[in-house]
Amino acid sequence: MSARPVVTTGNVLFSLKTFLAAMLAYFIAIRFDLPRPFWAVATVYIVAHPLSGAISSKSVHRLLGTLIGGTATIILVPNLVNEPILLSVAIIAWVSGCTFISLLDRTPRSYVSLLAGYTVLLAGLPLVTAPVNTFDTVVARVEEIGLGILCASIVSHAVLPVHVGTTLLGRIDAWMARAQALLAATATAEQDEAQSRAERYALAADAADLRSFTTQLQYDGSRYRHAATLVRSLQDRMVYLLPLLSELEDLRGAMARLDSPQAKQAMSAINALGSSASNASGILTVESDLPASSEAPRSWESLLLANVARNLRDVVEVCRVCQSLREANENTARAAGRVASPDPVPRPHGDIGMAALSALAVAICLATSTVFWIASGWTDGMTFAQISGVLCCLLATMDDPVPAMRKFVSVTIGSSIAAFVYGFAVLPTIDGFVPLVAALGLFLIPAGICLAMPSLAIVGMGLCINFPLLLTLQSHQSSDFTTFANSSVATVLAIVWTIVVCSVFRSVKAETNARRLFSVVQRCVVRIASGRHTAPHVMHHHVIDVAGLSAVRASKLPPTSDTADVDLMRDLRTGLNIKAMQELSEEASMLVSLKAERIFSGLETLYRLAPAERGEALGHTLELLDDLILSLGHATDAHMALLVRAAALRVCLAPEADPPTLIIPPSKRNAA
Amino acid sequence: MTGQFDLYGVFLPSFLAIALFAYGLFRMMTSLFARIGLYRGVWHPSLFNLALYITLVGGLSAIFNWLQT
Repeated sequence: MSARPVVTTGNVLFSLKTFLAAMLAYFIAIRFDLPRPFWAVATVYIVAHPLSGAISSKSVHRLLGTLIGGTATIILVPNLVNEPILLSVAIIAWVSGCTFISLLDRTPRSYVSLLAGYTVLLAGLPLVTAPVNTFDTVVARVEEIGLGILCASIVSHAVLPVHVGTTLLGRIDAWMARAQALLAATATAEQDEAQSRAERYALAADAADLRSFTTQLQYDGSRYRHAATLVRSLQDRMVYLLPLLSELEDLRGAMARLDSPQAKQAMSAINALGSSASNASGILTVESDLPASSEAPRSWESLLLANVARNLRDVVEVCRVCQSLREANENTARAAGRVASPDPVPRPHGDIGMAALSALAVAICLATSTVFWIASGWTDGMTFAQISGVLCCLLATMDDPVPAMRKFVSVTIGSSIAAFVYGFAVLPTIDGFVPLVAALGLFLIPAGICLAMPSLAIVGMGLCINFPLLLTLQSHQSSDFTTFANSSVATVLAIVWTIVVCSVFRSVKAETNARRLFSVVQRCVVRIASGRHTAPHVMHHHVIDVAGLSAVRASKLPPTSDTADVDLMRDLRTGLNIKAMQELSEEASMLVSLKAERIFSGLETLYRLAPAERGEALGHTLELLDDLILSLGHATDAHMALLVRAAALRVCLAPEADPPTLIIPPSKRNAA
Repeated sequence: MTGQFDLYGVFLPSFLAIALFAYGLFRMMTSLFARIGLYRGVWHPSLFNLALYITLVGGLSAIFNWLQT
């Protein structure tokens, strides 16, 4: 509370709106005499989000997931109820299967299958003792959730809405500003390498985040709603900046080492670009004062100059396109037709191994808790199995869910104390709906403010969602201490058990995941080098996505880790350069394309090795590359493009290496 | 309003049928409004939409009741 005020107008408004929606849902549920009105209240708090588009998107996914889960319950439970073991196995298989599917999809859509999974737990398990009621219970649950969702969406859209579109564009602007600042810092070499690499990773993480955010735009009520394609193509272009910046940094280093008049001229051009990027006007002009590379004698230096020119041109072009797309967003209706639809973006990276591990943890957690329930015959063993399964599903996306869970335990204990006070001291004295709302507001509104703060979100969630469920808000309050104590104890026990299972089976270090992500990128480069890959933009998005994922982990890595100093952007550039060289070498002469082939196969073996074992293979590949580059003395103009790419490849493979020796006797060249 | 539709043996409350029908009508009207650019002159599109939908449901059920009597 010292750094930032918790109670801001926005947070209070959000809390009041959510409370209004919850009470509206509660009121309607009581009027329609639904069996468990507290589910509607809890649903409102589960889907609560400050942005109205996000609520609608989450609501649609939740409703769909509930419907699927409800159907599965109706199919599973009545058919298998006489075989408790078989039923448990079926439920466990269904839930962990759904978790697996949802983990492979990193967009908000993953919520559908997650919910389809645990709806079976929530709606199906209580039916085991009374299978006759299956259909009624499932219908009631779908109704209550539907009601909660409708109230949440209507209130969030109609009462002082906060739109996704505006927020999203604000974040895109902030991203561009950060990228420009990074460009300025790179061009003038203000930051050291590790710093700017961390910044590039952070930008990649942000870009991936923005991409999943965009899917919520089409549920938005703002005027940007129809601009989803525009925003998507803007994001497509944005990410091209990151490898360009990484290249600029390396090229600048190479130029600085060359130390010739032309290199100095190029440096001043880079600096000029940097200073024009840090201006408020933001629009970049360079070009004119670059040394014309075609006139220069053919040398390593001229290749580098050509690369600098290409890089600066690309940076300016990307910035310009982003700018014009950004402006097009403001007057969407007319512009939308003019912009070409973006290339199909590949599916975000999904780690099948980790998803399987998480699904396994869910299965183990459920299996143990169900066995405990069946063996002990404790009536609230059901709650125990339910909550531990649901928590396992919900926390499946985290690397190490244990710290968050620890926090959740104390919060749950807190909310069960609050529920105890309310259930036995406050509510029995209350008569009528309005006083009830007032009494609930006393707890739920402050707790809702916590929900709006990202740092306190888990506290807010624990308070707001557990409270109505533990209190079992109903139209006719029945205070029974035994029931209450049982369900509270079961809830807390379930959380503790989930912690135990997760810490045994699920928790992986950030380093493990970072290494897995790293090897994904290496395999991607290998595929390209062996000529088995599709379009370059697929690789682009794939690697940026992975780099974003590893950015989250990079901050937690110990500095001694061998994955701490890899640069995925460099690997991305390697891949892109290989791709470009492959295309160019198709038109080249026999000799050159043979040389290029050998380079590709050298790279393929190089990227199959672990980073520590690469020294020799790297040297070999560089020799091959130098051989190609040094043949430039008698290259035709058509070959020059290929050689420029080869130089770019060399810079990104070995940024620190000395330039290849240029003047060599013809005899030696033949020998090589 | 208390009547029920018989949909091949499944009884649906007529209010549900009206609400669904009104929703279809509502979607058509909003897309029409968006095309002719009506929303540019609307201060709060979501509130406008909500009011429009409620008007439609109310109007339809009034017509329905009137037809039944």
